[in-house]
Amino acid sequence: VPILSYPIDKDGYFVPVLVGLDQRAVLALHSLGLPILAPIHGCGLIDSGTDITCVDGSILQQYRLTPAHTATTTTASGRTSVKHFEVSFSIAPLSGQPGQQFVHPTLLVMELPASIPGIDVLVGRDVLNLCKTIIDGPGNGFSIEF
Amino acid sequence: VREVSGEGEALTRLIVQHRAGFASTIAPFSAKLGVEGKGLEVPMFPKSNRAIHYSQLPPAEPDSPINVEYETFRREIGRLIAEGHEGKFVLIHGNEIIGIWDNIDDAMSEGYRRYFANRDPFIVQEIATWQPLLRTRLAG
Repeated sequence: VPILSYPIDKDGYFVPVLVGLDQRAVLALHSLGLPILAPIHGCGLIDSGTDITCVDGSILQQYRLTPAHTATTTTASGRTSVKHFEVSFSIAPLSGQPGQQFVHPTLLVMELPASIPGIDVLVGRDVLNLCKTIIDGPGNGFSIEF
Repeated sequence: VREVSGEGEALTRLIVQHRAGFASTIAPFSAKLGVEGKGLEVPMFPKSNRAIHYSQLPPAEPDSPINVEYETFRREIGRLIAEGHEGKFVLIHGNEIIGIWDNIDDAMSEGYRRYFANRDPFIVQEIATWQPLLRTRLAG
């Protein structure tokens, strides 16, 4: 079973992530003979209080993606409709460490309603429910099995 | 944010060259999520106990690139439910309902086939009386 291990940061549980075009978009571009943009590396924060993985708009805009779905969420200013996109999503090992990536070729993600400094992706329960996440507080580390 | 060419190219190659393999790769995910794939996996909103009645859907954000499509959905969903389409998926482009499918994968594939090359906006929404109400870090 692949296991990815990370240190606990004083600001939370951070993981390196890759966000890219989902397989449907890749296949569409491929069939049209158009170039396929490589996935983009970002900083993900594990957030079990978030139902669905959220991605900063700056990443999504780089792919010229148009949202394919909407859903409703509640913000400080009340209920609002938010855009959702289909992307490929990966959790990577720490730089320089060996390990297999967690890869989801088509994940439905929400555009972050507002940017969070230093965070590109909130890794929500939709992804966490596919993994076994073990937090070792005294050992100052956590691991993700998938 | 930076682009990682090595990892990215490898992942892209994986997606293009091993399309068939993805069905089996994601099968455990689909099973855990309680959804069934049919070749390509089916992205779905996560199941939760929070939902709102379709009549309470908030209006579109004015600057959204899909505000016309979403407003069409808000306008038409009651009629679609009354006509017996609960549980199906509707593809909308502009003010027009393009079609209704039994599963999201077929609806999305048709949307991509028609509109992806020109990046024309479209949406695929589930026709459901109770619509998902998602919680995020920024939510109340």
